[in-house]
Amino acid sequence: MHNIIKYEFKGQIKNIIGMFVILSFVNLVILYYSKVLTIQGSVALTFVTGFAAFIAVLIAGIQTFTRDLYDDTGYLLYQTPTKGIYIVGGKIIFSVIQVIFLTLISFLFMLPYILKADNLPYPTFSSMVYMGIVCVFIYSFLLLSIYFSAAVSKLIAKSKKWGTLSGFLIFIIFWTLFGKIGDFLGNIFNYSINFNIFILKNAYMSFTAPSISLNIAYMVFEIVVFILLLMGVSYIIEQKIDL
Amino acid sequence: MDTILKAENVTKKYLNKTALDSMNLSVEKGKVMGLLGPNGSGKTTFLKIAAGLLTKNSGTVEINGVPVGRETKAFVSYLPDKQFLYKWMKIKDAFDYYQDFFNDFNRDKAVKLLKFMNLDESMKVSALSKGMTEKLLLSLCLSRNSKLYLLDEPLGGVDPVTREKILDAILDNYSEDSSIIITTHLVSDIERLFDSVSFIQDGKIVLEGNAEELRNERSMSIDEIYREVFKDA
Repeated sequence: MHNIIKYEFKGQIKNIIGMFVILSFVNLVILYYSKVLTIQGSVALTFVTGFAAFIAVLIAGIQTFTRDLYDDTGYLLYQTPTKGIYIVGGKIIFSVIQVIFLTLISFLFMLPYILKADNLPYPTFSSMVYMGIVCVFIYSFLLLSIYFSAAVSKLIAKSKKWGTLSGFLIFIIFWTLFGKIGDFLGNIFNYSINFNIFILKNAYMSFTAPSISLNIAYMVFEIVVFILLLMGVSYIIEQKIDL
Repeated sequence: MDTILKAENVTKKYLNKTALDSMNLSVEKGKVMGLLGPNGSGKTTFLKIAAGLLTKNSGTVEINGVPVGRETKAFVSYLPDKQFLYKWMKIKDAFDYYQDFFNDFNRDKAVKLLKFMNLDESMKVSALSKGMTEKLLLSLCLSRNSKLYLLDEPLGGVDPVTREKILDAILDNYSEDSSIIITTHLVSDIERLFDSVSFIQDGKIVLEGNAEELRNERSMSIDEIYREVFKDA
């Protein structure tokens, strides 16, 4: 799997550096004009910039998989005796690493505003770790569901044009079914984990932000579906690939 | 004689078109087989199935006694008729890639072949001409110490000088322990390599046999036999 990550990194290093330079430049400009823009305006613009970069990383993460399904580079990757699960896992991990890198840069540029603000609720360490894991899982799940849609559509449609269209339809159908079944299970087994993300304590006041509630049945269902998707995509690219 | 590849009743259909029609084929260990046929006869389809890059509708294909799949990819070296390397790669990166993904890749052999082909490791893949690309891809393919080499149109679209280089590379780097299947419709240039030949038309083998015996039986070269077999194609 590390070889998949290694060559994805080698192939995209220029894009990653380019994104880092653009993101840093835009954020420095926002920082420079922060007095004019006000703190709220600057924070909003920094957030929007980070979100745009996130979308770019997501698209790159999708293309890294679909490229080898439809382009001739598939002859290189899929003639290797690499297990399907390593190929899928490697590509997802590479994209997750990019998202973490992007988040750290965005956080770095948010710091000046955070440090300036008074009485800002701060997250507890454990909630940060927990939220980090949840976010990584949700992102991986989203990417995997797109990989699954692309892999299934490749079985149906051989051309890239029809493959993209059918992949999109499969993606919509998948998320509709997933949402409905998840809600159904969540309603039947209505047990949740609650945890606080932000806490504010000082000499004058004590404040805990409303807790976030995660339905256990929904979470278990999501993990099971994740595993099934991973197995499904791995099986398709290992056994049913048609180049 | 041991068989390295055995295909039985292999059928492949694309919507309404039958690319392979209950095709049977076997290749002996240590032999070079020419799979000859006009465009659209099913040559590439068969090689892709043998390389594990295309599914078949029915039939069986075994390589070294193992059904085609991820396991056989470890000892089958496939040269597609396409430029399949990533555009960002230099030749050195392509060598690194093969070394990382294939246990049977012999880097020393690759360097020697590259030198023979007058190419340099620092060259960018995207800057290579068609002939240079063909030479690079063949160097990568032959640098693996595989049991079976599948060469799809290795002479397609290259000039006569490059053709000679490619043929010499195949001859010099082919070991007696391994077998080669070469598909082509440019028979005259390459027929001296063949131990056996199979003529394929509409997804079926229409004639096959030992190359020397076929020449003697018909008092014709393989190229002439090819022209006769496919005169109506």
